[in-house]
Amino acid sequence: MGDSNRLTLVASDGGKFVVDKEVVQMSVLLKNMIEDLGETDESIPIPNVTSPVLTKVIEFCENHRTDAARTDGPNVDGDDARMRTAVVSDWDRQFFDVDQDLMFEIIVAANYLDIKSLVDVGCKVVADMIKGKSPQEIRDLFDIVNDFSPEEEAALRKENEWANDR
Amino acid sequence: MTSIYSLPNEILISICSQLGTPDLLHCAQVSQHFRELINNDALVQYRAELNIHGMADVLQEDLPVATKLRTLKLYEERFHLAAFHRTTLANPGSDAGRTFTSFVSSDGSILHFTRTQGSGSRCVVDKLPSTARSLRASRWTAPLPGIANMDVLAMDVSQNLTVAIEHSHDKEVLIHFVTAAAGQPHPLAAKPVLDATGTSASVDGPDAYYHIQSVHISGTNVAWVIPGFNSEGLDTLQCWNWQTGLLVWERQCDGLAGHTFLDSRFVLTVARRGQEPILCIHDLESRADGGGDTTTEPVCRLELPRARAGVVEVVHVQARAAADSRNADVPFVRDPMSTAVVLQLAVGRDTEGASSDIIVMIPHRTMYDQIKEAIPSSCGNQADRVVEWDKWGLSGAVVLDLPPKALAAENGGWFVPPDVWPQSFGSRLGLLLCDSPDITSGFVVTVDIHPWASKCARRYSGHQGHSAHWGGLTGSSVDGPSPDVVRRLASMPKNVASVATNLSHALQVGSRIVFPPGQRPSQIITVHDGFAVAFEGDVSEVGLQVFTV
Repeated sequence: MGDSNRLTLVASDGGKFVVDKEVVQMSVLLKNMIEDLGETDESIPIPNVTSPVLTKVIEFCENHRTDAARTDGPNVDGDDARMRTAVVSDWDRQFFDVDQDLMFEIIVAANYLDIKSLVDVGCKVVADMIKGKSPQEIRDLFDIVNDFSPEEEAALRKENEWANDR
Repeated sequence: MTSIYSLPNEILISICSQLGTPDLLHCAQVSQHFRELINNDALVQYRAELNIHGMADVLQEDLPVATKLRTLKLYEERFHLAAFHRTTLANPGSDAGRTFTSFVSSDGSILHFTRTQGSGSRCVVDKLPSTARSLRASRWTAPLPGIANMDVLAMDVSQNLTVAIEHSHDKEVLIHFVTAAAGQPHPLAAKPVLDATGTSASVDGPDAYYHIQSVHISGTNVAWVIPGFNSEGLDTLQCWNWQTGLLVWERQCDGLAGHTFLDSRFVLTVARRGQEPILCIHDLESRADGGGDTTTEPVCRLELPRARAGVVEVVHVQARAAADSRNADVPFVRDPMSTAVVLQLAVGRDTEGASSDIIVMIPHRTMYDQIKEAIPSSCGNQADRVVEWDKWGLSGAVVLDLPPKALAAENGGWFVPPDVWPQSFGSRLGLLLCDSPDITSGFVVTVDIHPWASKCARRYSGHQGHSAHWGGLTGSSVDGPSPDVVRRLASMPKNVASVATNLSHALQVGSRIVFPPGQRPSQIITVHDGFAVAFEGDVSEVGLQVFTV
């Protein structure tokens, strides 16, 4: 390969991705791995992530490489605050405009690879989907089975009735 | 197939942390998994604890939730030391040269002030057993040499302030601002003594002794009413800055029936004009300048539930201590959302249709936002601004429609409304309603201002109720009725004619409590997992019943 600034990632299904080192380092997991490996031409296997998902993750990191540099330093322990204040950008919204399976897979992969900014954006997007919806609408949205007994459900509804007012 | 459940719990929690309370409550209803997750999550616990105590978060945003929760727990005990509500005069007036006043703090302590002619004042503090945590009660006594000849009108422990009144010879009336602990002149008061004799409403009345009434403290403001014994017969509501000793604001009203601070800026007044109660909200900041004109028009009027043509009396007004003042030692502030106003209106003179409304008004925004929102912007003339009661907030109000304690015909033409004792703890408001003519029984209504508060209260539902001795006091123990006192709305006592509310789950009405013979209730002490009712036979004897929710 010869280019010391680029690395090859191998997805679980064997798909190969050649990526800038700088981009790869947005993943804390991979960053540590590269540091452990030192200078190497070997490709890095990512057994838990499939090609379509890895494509999206890399797309995100490519797009966010510049702001990664910006937030790298002083913001290490300000994650909580950053997360709450950050507004999802149009680009990020477009990015997550995919089917739900892929969306959740991206978040799971981002969590596994430890890419904080992608996890944050993913959570925000999911939270935005939940906002303003009734319990049944949330179930329909995410295809969740209602495992409450009718009695439990009635009690819950009564208990939470006035939440609708606020 | 990847579902939302394939997300690890910590991701689900951070999704939930983006949601406001209503959405979070909806999520908790989605499935067992979500419910468990949300109920066990530290962030949710933290929010719930904040809401139970009626507190708002002013901690640094980026602190980990676990740290915030620990900090909150550390200060929990101290939130409720802040506000003292004066409740009843257990033994009103002077009895053989003795006057007696009692206050209840929202942590459940009761302070009794007694002044005996010739032997000075003393304060007795009764610390009640909290319902679930402990059964120990204690009592201690402190002599108050600093205010030996005064009666206590109001106190605010968060500011270490007691307002006391001294009646010297003739009609001279002095208001003292002293420390709560020792009764010494308060160091922050520029004028530790205010001569109320010289205020605009001169006192010519027959009973000058009680001529300053309903004293309320809110931050640097202290407000009181001087009944209209003057020639015009107008009552005067005055608001003084107790630290500078200057009059901030005053207003004369015809038939002023009560007032309360809604927050540090707004005051609610209730007046009777003829038979119609007039509820007005006044803005303390709206006066023209610091100069002579301290009188303003109200910001708006509040319209009451139905046409209340027959209203004869507004018996009680009390806001939950909603001063947004901050206790310097505690890194939390009172949640402006946890304010509630309790109003009691006596309706109708005839035996037929005579009833009394207890109205608990609960805002859904901060007072300021709400008042601003409620006033139609096109309405230029302040006097014409009227807000209907149900526009008070989306959450609206609770109306309890009660029959009078005694009907007019049986009572020499007088209408006797039920006795009401309100007391709040955090965002829970407890009301003890005593509607029997001979004061032998009553019942308790609790209103949870915030949904989380009631949610958490129910976590303790496994507890048993009990009646308790008054610890080491010379009290009589009281045999309790059924321990399961507070039930849902479905088990409303028959005597409550109607309840209009859109807070149904937040309101709980208890079954009837029969008071012990020879004793009458003097206080209700509400805590997050129950309440206690204190009884008094005479001044030195106190009984107590404790109930858990």
